[in-house]
Amino acid sequence: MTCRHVLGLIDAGPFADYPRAHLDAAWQHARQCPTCGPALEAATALTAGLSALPHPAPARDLTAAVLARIAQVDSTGIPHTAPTRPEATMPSVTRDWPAWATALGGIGAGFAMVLWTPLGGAAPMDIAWLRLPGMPSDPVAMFSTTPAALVLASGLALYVTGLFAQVRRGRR
Amino acid sequence: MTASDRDVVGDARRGDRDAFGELVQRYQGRLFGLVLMMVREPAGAEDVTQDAFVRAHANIHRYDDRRPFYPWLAAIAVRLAQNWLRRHGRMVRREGAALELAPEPAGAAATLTALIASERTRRLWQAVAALPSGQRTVVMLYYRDEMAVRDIALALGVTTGTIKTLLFRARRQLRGYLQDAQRSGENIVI
Repeated sequence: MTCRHVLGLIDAGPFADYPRAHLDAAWQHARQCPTCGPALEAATALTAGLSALPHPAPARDLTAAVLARIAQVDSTGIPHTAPTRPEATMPSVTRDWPAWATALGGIGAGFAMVLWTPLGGAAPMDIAWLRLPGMPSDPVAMFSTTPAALVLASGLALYVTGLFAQVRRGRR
Repeated sequence: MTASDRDVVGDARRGDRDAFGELVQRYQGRLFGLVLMMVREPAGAEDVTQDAFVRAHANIHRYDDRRPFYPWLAAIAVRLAQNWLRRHGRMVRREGAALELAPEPAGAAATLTALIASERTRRLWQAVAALPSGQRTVVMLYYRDEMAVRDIALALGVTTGTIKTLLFRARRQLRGYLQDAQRSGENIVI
C-alpha cells in the first residue's frame, strides 16, 4: 500500500464499500505516514460525523395531523387502499388477442408467400435448403395452389383484424 | 418490547389506523430531517413529510414487507420533495444534473441550523446544507439513513453510478469546506 493508494481510497468514497483487509492495509500504511495518517483520520471522522447527523424534530408531532388527513381521505370515499388488480396490470393472452392475431397473421402470410408466389404464379422460391431427411425431393409439390392461397388469405385477414383492433384499442 | 415494523405494517394494512400512527411516530423525525435537508424550509418540510405518510398509507399494499420499511417511505418522500422543489421553482433542469438545485434563498440554511442544538453537529449540518441538493440528499440517505447505494438509486430514479459520483463530490466538497473553515480559525470538530 502506497500513499497514492491511500489517498485514492480516501477520494474514492465511502469506506463501507471496501473490504476489511484493504482498509487494514491502508491504516497500516497511514500509521507510519505523516501525509496519509491525518488525511485518513479526517476522512474517517467525516464518515462518522455524517453517520451521526441528527434527526431534527418537526415543530409539532405530525401523527395527529397525518391520521386526520387519512381519515378525511377515507371519508371522501376515494378507494386509495384498493389493491392493484392483477388482471389490470398483468398482460394476458386473451386480452392481447389482437397482438397474437397480428403475429400469427404475419407468420401465416409469410409462410404462404415463401411457398407460393401469387403474382408471378409460377416460380416458387428455392427452399431446397429446408428439406429434411425423409421429405420428398420437391416439398413445394406437396402444397396445391388452393391451400396456399387460403393460408395467405387467412393470414392477411388475421393481420388486418389485429391491426384494426390495436388501433381501436389505442383510441380508447 | 416494541413490535417490529413488519408487524405494525401488517396491522396497518388490515386497516388499523393506530398501527399506522405508530409508524408515523417512529419515522417522522428521520423523515422530516431528510425532507428538511432537501427543501430547506421547515414549513415546506412538514407539509411534504405529512404528504409522504398519507401517500404511504394509500399505497401500503404495494410495500414489500421483506424489505425494510424506511427506504420505501424515504423514496416516496424524496419524490414528493422533488415535486415540491419543482413547484417552488428551485429545480434546475440540466442534462446530467437532474438533482441539482438553483441557489437557495439566503437564510434558509440558518433556519435549519436553529433547529439543531449542538454546536458541533450544527457545523457539520451547515456544511452538508451548503452542498447542492442532489449531493446533500444522497449524503443524508447514505450516511445518516444507512440506505444502500442501490436503494438510493431506485428512490431517486438514477443509476448507482450517479449516486457514487454524487457521494464522491459531496465528500470532496465537505473536506474542502471543513479545511477552509479550519484554516480560517473556526472551531471545527472533525
